[in-house]
Amino acid sequence: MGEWADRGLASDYFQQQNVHCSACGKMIPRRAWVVMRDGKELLFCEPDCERIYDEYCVPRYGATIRWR
Amino acid sequence: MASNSRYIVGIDIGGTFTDVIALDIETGHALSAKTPTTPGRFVAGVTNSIKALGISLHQVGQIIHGSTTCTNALIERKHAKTGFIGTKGFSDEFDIQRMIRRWSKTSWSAIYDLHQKKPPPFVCRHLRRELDERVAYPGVVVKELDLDEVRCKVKELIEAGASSLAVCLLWSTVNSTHERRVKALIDSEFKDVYVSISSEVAPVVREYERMVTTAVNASLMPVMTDYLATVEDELNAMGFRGSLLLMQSHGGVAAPKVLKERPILTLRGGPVAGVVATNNLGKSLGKKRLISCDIGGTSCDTAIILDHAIPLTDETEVDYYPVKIPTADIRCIGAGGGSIAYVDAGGALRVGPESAGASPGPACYGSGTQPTLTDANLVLGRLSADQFCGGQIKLDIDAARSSLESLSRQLGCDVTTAAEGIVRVAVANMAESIRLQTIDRGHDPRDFSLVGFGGGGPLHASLLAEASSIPEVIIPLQPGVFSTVGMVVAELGYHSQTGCLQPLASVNPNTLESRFREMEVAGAAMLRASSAKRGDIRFSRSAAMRYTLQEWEIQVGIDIGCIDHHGVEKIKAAFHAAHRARYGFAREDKPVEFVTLYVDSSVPRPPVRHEPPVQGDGDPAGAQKGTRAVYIDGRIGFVDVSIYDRVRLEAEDVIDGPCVIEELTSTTFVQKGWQVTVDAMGNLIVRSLD
Amino acid sequence: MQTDSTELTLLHNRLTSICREMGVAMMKTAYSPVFNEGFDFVCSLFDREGRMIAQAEYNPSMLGAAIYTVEWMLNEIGVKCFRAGDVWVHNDPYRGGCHLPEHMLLKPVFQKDELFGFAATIGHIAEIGGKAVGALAGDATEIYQEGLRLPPVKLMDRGEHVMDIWKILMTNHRTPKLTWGDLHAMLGSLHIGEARLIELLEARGLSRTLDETKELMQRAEAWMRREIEAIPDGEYRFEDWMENDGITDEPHRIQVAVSVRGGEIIADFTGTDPQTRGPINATYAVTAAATYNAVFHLTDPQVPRNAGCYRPIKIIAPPGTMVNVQHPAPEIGGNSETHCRIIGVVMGALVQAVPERAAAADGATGCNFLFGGIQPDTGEFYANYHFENVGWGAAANHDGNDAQCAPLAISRNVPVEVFETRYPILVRSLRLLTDSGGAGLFRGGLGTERILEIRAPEMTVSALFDRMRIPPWGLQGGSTGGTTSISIRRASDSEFRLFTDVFHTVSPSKFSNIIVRHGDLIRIVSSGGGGYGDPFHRPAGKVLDDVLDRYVSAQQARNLYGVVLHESEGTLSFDEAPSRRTASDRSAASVNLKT
Repeated sequence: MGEWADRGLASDYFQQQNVHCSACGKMIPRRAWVVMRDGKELLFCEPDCERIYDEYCVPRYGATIRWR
Repeated sequence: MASNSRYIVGIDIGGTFTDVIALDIETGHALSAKTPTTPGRFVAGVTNSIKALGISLHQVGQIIHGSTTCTNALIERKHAKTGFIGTKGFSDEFDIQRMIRRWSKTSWSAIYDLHQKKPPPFVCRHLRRELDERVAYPGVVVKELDLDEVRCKVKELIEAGASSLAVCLLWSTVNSTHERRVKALIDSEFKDVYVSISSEVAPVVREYERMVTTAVNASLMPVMTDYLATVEDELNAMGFRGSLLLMQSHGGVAAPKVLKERPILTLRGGPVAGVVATNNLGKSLGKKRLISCDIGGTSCDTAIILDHAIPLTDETEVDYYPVKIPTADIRCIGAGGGSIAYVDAGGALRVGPESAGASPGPACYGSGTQPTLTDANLVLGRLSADQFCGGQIKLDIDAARSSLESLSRQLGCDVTTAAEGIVRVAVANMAESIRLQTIDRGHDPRDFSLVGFGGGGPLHASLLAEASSIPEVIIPLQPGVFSTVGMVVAELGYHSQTGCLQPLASVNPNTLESRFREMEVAGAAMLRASSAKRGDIRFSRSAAMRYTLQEWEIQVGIDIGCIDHHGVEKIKAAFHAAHRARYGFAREDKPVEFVTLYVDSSVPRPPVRHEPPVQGDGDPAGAQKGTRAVYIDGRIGFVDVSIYDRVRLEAEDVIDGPCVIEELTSTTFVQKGWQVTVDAMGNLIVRSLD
Repeated sequence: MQTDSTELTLLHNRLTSICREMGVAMMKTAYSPVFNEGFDFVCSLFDREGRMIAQAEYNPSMLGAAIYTVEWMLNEIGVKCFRAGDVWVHNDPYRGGCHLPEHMLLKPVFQKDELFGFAATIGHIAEIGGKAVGALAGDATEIYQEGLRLPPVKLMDRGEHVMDIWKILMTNHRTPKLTWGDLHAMLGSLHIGEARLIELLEARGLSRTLDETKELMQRAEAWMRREIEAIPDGEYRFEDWMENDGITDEPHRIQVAVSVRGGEIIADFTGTDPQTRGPINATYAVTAAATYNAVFHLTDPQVPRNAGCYRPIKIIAPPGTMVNVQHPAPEIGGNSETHCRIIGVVMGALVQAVPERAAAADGATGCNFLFGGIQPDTGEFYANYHFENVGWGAAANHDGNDAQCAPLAISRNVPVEVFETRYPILVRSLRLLTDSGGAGLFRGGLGTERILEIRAPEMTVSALFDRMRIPPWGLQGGSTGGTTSISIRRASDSEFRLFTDVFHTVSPSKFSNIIVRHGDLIRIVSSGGGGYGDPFHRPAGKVLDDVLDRYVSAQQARNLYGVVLHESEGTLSFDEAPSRRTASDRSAASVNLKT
């Protein structure tokens, strides 16, 4: 089960790198849907992207973290 | 006018009905009649109508008509083969148009409609020629006109079959010399061909709109000439010795010879009569904030009338072709008695814009099967099955009910609830249209009175007022034929305009004054050609103005007498005030410019006097003719409601809603919580009891 | 049930009408032609969770992106930071924006101290500083060269100007008067949106309206899912290219696999080339907006537009690629040029699923031409973002429209008689370009040619075009549409030459800050739409009409349509070439659909 947590870097203006949803690639400003999979932490922009990850991304690309 | 010509007659030929009014000049009284339209020639309609009124054609001094000949010719593409002459390099703007995609069924689908079809160029490429001349802003000639080239191109177009020519050269609004020389050449060397030039027809900036407007005018010149010749001959043959006047798009009337050069002025001349009638009513009641609302079989036409002036716009189009001439600012939406109700793919109830028209008509007329607004009103008991149109048409309530069955099933409710929904959605569409007009102008609907007329106006007016936060409704006498009153009271009018793209700071007051004077002289000449007497002619000046760097102008009245330096300052102040009224802010420190100057020349007409009703005692019981079950709302359902005969109502009678007031030409419905008072002239004044 | 349905329809109409009123106000009071003729803005309403509840039919490229721009802002700042009378602004592409000139203004709407939601407008501010006048620098290599970037900051605080921010804007834009005027037009429209929304809430009640807007979103989502269910399930692929990025002269590939699964679409851009050095990168919001645009063009255009209709469409865009650009890569061309290419790629994929709804490629470029300088008489900067119209692709039963705004926008062109009052340029001509419509059973729409004569002693110009080399594709045997071009004939020259030739720019279609002088002529040609079907099947009589109207030349009639024309005694007649009767294999750049 996932949970909402503050993981974005929006408040930090010293760094300009975004954090991205592991399924769709959208930037996450602050609140992420955090899910643990095989001991690794995956970040999603919303619960529906966790579903996309399981139904679409994993069968296609494997259970990898394609980007951060 | 001939000596025993007592009457001025106004005729409005609609799809289903022909309305006619005859104004007795001596007494000021008016007779009216509504007859089913007989297809065929205009003169047949005239004969039938005169007969229905019980008068003879010899007694008629003037016939006024809102002709749709030009509008129909345009829509059916039955106008003259028109050639175009433009500045080299720009005639393809007929194809390019304004780039925007808006050819879809509704405005909100245009941005995603892959298969929308752009209208074809008004003048096709092979009937266009270009001249190697050029004027640049602000009026400098960059390349001179070559008259030999003009001759050559005109000959080519005539050989290609053009019977009418439109000329529009770039920047002719600031320097029209080249256009006038082209016209002079065509007038003297090619006498058989009609010609229109843009600096005369529509001297407005923005070349595409000006090109098309000029071409539309040129294409209609032969149509108008033929039409007038035929009509005048036929009327003459029937014994008519008076004069024919036509309604123009801005609400004035003019003699045919004036309109031969400018047939474009008759476009949209139909709906404007109702606005003129409402304005006239407003003057007699002393009301400066009116909304005219004409609901017919297909459309609901609304206009905002402020300070006893007919509102004008120049953003009109016919069939997607822009027509940049001052036209009464009437918003027409597809919401009328015949508007078809349906459920869309998302499950939402929609009404219109498609209409069952005159044929097959609403289901209750007997031929159609689709449910319409009229069917809904009949099912709700607001219309009488037997008394519709004075009993001339019997409505079939069972047909109305069965037309609603499929719709009700889709919505999951009963037929009555579906009918109520239809009326609410239709009224909401009309209310939305009114909101856009009042708020777009920066006005509060709570300051207005709504005048409801046309076949369906009185039936919906108080519901519409409630939905729009308008506190008062006025139902005039004989509302079903109210538009015809507009025809007989319309002023003899001529509207002139001239381009004047100049900052206020650099304008010479004397030059400005003389430009207005020139237009007044031209207007007076046109009106005298329509038999006006010089002493009766009045002028009204205005200008389209804007802040420099803004693209959109607003109209500002100029009523300060002879213009001098102080006058220019007053005009500037008037502009700031108008901008603030419209948009909520003004920029007093920013420079202002003129764009176009206008002069309205007019001659007022004799007033219409209606026989005032008998003074009553407040109790309308004497006018009651029975009761009928009428649907009020979802909680109360059907209730027995009193039905009154309008003709028997007396001044100062008061009736609490809900009630139904029936008369020959229409039915008035007033809902619970509103109250009707009959005023001294016989108008129904309806107000909310809150 | 039915009463609810009527109520919902009335609410939807009312909310849409408020957005329209906002747009009308903005259009009529803004200073820049890009607003009032170009309609380069949007007005929309959001609930307090940042979900779009209504929009009006303005610029589609911004409509789809607005969801992300607003969502980002609310996420970063938090709803509690908004007070009545505040207006926040941001234009940061990396924070959900489209491209740098697009500024989003957001105003909270309170009814009696309770937050209902937000009114939002996005508008294209024509000049924002940066290395090129008019902002679209075709050879920018970093966001810092493209103009002033604002993260979400307050423009108005409880009704008062936050002058510190305004001062920064005015100081860093070359045409501060226009910025001031246009931003105030946007503020005016927000003001109207807020006022109308409050009236509505007062009449209907805040919580009831919030509940009903949720129902509206559910209705829209359900309808969109039904539309998608009607598209056959499957995976559909397509790819296309951006010709170059302005820095190096190599093409870059955009690739998509569109999966239709029941009532859901997943557009997966994995495999798209990495983000480029030049400014043709698209942000996530742009890629999403382009995807929605393509899907909406191929489904019922009457679906009501609110957050609900976007939900069934998912976009997967790997960060760091051309379709999800990361800091500090440049992106200013992403929202005009690349946006069109992405729309085309998604359409190209989906039309394989629904061939009966297909149309060939449109011209798919904005032909962005920026110019500016100092007005000789006033000493002030002027800048203009000029774009052209393109031909649209033909379809199974009609020719493509000529000279129309590309699908990403809904703009009107600026009339010559308005253009010439503002800028020291004389427009020599504006014509349709013969033969630029792709040949086919149905002909692609034509593009245009515009020739401008410079009338200032000096002017700085930049350009951002594409489709100069790789033409728009045809369908089912139709030919490609014409390509774009931009060229210059110097006052001393006798012919038009490319900018690579005259000024040695790296790319002929993307460059910045070229100085041109009085008497120079600039020729801008826009692209045509692709054709549909075998041109040899187009009825010869129609081809003859096309030639009479000079949409097609006699030469193209013979070479591409197989119709040979003869003139005798002033009339034109035709013969069909023998090769017409045999089936032909058309050019490789035509896409064939399985039917």
